[in-house]
Amino acid sequence: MSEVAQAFAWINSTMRADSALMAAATGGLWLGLADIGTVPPFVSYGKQADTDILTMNKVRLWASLLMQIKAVGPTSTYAAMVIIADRIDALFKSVRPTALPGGGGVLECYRDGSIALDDPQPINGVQWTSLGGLYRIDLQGS
Amino acid sequence: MAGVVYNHFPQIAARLKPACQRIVTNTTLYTRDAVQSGATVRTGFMKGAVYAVTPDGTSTYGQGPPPPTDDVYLLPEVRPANDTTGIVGCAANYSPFVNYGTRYMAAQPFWEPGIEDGNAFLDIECSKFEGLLGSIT
Repeated sequence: MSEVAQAFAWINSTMRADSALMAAATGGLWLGLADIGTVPPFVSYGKQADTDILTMNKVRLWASLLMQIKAVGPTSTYAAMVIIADRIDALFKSVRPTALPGGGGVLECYRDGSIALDDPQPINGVQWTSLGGLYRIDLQGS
Repeated sequence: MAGVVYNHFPQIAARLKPACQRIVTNTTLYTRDAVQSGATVRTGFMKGAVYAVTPDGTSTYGQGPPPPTDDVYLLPEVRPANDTTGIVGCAANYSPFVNYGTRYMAAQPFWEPGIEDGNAFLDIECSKFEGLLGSIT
């Protein structure tokens, strides 16, 4: 099974199980872009980069995935975005080996860097921003 | 009883820095190419604005196409702090928005994938270190 798809599923289910995060993220969780009309703030996640870890004989051991997970919303919702970013970090900053449903598992997960980026232009006169991090997920596929 | 004492450390020390500079130079240029090859292209300004500065100070900054509109520009060049450091940078001011995405634009990552390629290349280059020192007699 695709390691990236497994990672997306794990990120999604881990965040959905966190009531504080889901309460703050009124717009829900989105892979990539949120639909137009989604009530902010919301969580956006996606793959930023990846490297396969191979043996000398080119047998894949695991995939090292760099994932972007962030809160997105207008700056007026910044307090809620901070809560979301804090919960994201609490969930993913230090994950030890975890089995995944369907086989395989997350070997480790940690933050590789933070993201705090204002959108280049206001949207309908409102400034939007994002807050979160880049998380390294080493995942052994099923 | 007497032995012959060899001390080649002065020769080794003299070759360390050039070897390191060669590795850093090759890795810097490779990483620049890797980042550049993943950059999305609409006008070509952002891709052309990816630059490298090698330890000897040679820079490709500002050699790309000119800004296509008035609201885009080159960020200032970053220079290496010493002669064993190389720099790779994205000078287009809007590069982070393309790389990380915005509310209405999905991320189109090119920076991290290029850096990861560069990291792998550095490992390969470092394996040549002993050969770069050469034989010392």
